[in-house]
Amino acid sequence: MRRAIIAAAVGMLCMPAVATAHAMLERSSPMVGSTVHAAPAAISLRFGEAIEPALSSVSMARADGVVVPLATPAVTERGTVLVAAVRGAMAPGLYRVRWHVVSVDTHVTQGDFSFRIAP
Amino acid sequence: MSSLRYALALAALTVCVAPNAFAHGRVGDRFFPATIAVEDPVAADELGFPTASFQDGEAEYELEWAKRLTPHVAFSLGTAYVHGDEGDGFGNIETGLKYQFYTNEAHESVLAAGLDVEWGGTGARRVGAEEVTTVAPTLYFGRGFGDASADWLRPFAVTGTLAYVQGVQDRTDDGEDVPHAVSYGFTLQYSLPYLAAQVHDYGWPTWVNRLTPIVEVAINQPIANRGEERTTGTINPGVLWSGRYVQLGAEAIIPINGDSGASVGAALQLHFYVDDLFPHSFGRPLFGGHS
Repeated sequence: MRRAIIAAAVGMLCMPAVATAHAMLERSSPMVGSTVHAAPAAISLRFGEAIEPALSSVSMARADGVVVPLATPAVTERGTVLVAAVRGAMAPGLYRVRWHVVSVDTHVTQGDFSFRIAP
Repeated sequence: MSSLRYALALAALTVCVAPNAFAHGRVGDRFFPATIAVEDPVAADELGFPTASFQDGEAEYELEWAKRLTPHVAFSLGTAYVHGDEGDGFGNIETGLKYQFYTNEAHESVLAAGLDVEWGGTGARRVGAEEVTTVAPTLYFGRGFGDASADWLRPFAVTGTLAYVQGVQDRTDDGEDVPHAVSYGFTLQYSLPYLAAQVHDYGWPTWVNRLTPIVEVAINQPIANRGEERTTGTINPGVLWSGRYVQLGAEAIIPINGDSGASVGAALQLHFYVDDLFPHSFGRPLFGGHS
């Protein structure tokens, strides 16, 4: 019985790899919670799954709530990286990035993080 | 693809993305992993198979499958195969119905109510399966602290359950008391996925950023018709790893008293996110959902 259970579990682990899942933020540039010494040219978000750019968004604002304009985001690297160029000026201070993405299997994930530009 | 066809495809995709299409176990920014000893508060399509636990020379292999009927109502079915000193066999069949009636994404909060039934006499007496059916109205809660002002607190989350367990009759055919009990439990979780994605990314490897250290506490306290029954419970410290489609869990089982076990045991779990594995077929709610 024990062998049957283990065999079944292993078999289920080998289920179709083509299935998709939710997009979790794995890395970003600037990194989550980091302090950088120069204003970034773009916000880059790497997810664990391919995302649908037309249904995904990213925004950024200063700590006082003033929005920093970003270009329409594009995806790279097989749809797993969302990149939005910074269109506005960024002075030293704290910034918050808010993202909302839809993976290609239509699942929604969202989140936000801060980074700081040092003087 | 022409722009018209692209627009049509996009429109179709937009229709499919219902507001309830959040991925498995997610409430706002928070991901609540499936937990081993204390049922999590989120209605989801999932399969825990196997959950293997070992303590005092006994091994138990548990299966639990949950299927959403609607986006916020899930039905579950489970049983366990027990290998012990008294012999081998299946435990009773257990069913459950859970309604996730409150979800607050901004505050990463969720409440659910449910009814669990252990169907007496469906398992083998030699492995301790009770002959009397029990019913347990249950409340579930989950709360992430992502809205806390202190960054160190934001990766934490708590979940818990509170149930009143009562037999459909007060005595077995052999004259033994069937106790009424309060069954409660809670978990304290520290989410490295949340830490890395929301608070501070320390540049650790991705597999580390998928870990959630956790402590679970599960208590069963007879309160009436208790006969020889005593309060039992375990404290389970461990760690969960959340992958793309599956979750792995490992916990120690520390009994809170002699009635709960003589030695420290262990629990291992392989858990499948069925709604993420099969988002367009088996993983969808039967009614009213698009994911």
